[in-house]
Amino acid sequence: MIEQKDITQIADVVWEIPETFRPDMKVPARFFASENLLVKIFTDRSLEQLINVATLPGIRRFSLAMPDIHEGYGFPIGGVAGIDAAEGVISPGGVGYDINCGVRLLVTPRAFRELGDKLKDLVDQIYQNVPSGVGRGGKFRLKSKELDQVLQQGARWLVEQGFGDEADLEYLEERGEFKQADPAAVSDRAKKRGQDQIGTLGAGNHFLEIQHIVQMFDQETANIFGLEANQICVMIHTGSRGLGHQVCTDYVRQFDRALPKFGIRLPDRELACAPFQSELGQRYFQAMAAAANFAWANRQLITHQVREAWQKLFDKDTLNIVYDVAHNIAKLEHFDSQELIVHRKGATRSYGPNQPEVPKQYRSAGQPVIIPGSMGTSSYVLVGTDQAMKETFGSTCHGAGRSLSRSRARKTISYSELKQRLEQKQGIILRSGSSHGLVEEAPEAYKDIDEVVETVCRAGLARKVVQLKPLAVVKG
Amino acid sequence: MDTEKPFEFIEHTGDLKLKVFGRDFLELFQNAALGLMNYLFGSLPADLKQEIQEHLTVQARDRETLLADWLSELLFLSETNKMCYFKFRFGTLTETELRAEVSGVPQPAKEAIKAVTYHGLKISRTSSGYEAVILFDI
Repeated sequence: MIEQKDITQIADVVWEIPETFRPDMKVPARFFASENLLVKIFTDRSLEQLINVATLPGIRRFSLAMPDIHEGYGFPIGGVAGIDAAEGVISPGGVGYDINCGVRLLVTPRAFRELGDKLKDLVDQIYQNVPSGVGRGGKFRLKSKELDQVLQQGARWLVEQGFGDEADLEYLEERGEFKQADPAAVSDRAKKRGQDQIGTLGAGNHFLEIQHIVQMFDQETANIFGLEANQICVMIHTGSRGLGHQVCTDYVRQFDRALPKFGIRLPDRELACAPFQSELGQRYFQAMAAAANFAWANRQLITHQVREAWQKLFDKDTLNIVYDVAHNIAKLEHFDSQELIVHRKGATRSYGPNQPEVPKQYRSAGQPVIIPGSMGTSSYVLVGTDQAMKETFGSTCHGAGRSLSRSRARKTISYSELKQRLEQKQGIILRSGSSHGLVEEAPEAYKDIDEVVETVCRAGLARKVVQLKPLAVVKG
Repeated sequence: MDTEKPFEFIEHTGDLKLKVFGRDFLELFQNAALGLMNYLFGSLPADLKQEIQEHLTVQARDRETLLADWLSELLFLSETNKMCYFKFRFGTLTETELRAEVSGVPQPAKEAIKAVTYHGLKISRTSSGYEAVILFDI
């Protein structure tokens, strides 16, 4: 286990383990943490995993971790790595099993005071429209050709079928369509797993929340993003469902088998990787991109279902997309005059001002960064910064990060007490398919989101724009 | 082994850790499958009248990978066929290959597992047989 004596403080909330710490490291390991968060980090294997990432062929500058770091598979969750696209590797462990798990924020034209007793009806309608929970399939079962179109075109295909507007695409990372996708790189079994899951939330830590803006930190940027005080918003957190999970499983297996052929030796099997320029590396990238498109399509269909639910009560209202971010993904990006595959596993892109990838309307400010809190706690909209571009390949945190195991949460947290606390003390309307599912997602099972966000702001990796609080939670 | 449970779930912050026991290699693989199904479905199905058989073949580079890939196959079948598998008969089981006939019945799952990982994967000999640890991403 790594100890305090092994790390050096570089700046206010910036810590480093030098590359001399272990002979197989190619770069230092660098992470961001406040003094409070640092204590927790030593209690699991996340720093050892961060050191393992520093051994990957072609890694540049540092292996990085955000303040929501915790133990994962291969990469720690909260891990970021920029790897040379010409000479380095791509690793499914640096993306995660839930490819393009991400968050989308919608704004409504209503303020909190306008909802009144309509809120409960709204929540019930959304709970009915958006399937959630274990084994719960969607209302659409895609034919093979349709699924291939979704994998190729992502959100755009859904819009062309009438589930949204062309204007929606402008406000999605990659415009909701990763161009490098190839449906042929996705296995039949992954397609079978995903066929009836489009338009579904899933279970676990996926959710949909109705929220309102409670605090304004940066009025000017909020105006640019279309955010106003007390405004009602809807936040959707979900990913590529079984399809993405199977793509990752398939390629981890293939990469693991191919390691001897590439002469790659790794300290951890789940770091299984292949040269990005190899046929296998390219096939995974194309499959990952296709699974990412499935996730954007999924969030697009859920958006449509939310809009339908909303318009049943407020039929003239339009719900616009603020932005949609991926937090489990690998992308080709340019830094230090090099093309890199930037892996973000439980980390969000946080591009600063004047970047062409950011929607034109937002470009002068920077990219919206949407950070969901754990259940019942605050969420945030931040904005990306030049400092993130310089220090973390334009990356920041993705959420709070777990601190309690699910089994410990079930043993120590009472369902009835939690429900009462959320519903009666906090006034949050809950719709959840599973009592132990609720307990496992209790806020005390997670790190303090306010502390995590404060840390990325202290590090300059993003700036706070607004804070949101939940009014209703829908989960499986 | 008479006092050892066939499987148990262990604390892990983010996910699900399964510890499996078996008096021999075959029992280890059976109990691992039972542990997986136990998590997904909670209990054995009461009504076995609609029993359906599937044939599986898995090949891997070593016994640990074989165990993980065996469970991956069962997870895939269970999720896509919406079936609980409860009987596992092996025609072939070596350290790198298995052929099995599995029996299951339709049943809605109570829990979901995203994937079987290779993380910390280990099979070891004990005084009473074999022990394995597998981590699932949930």
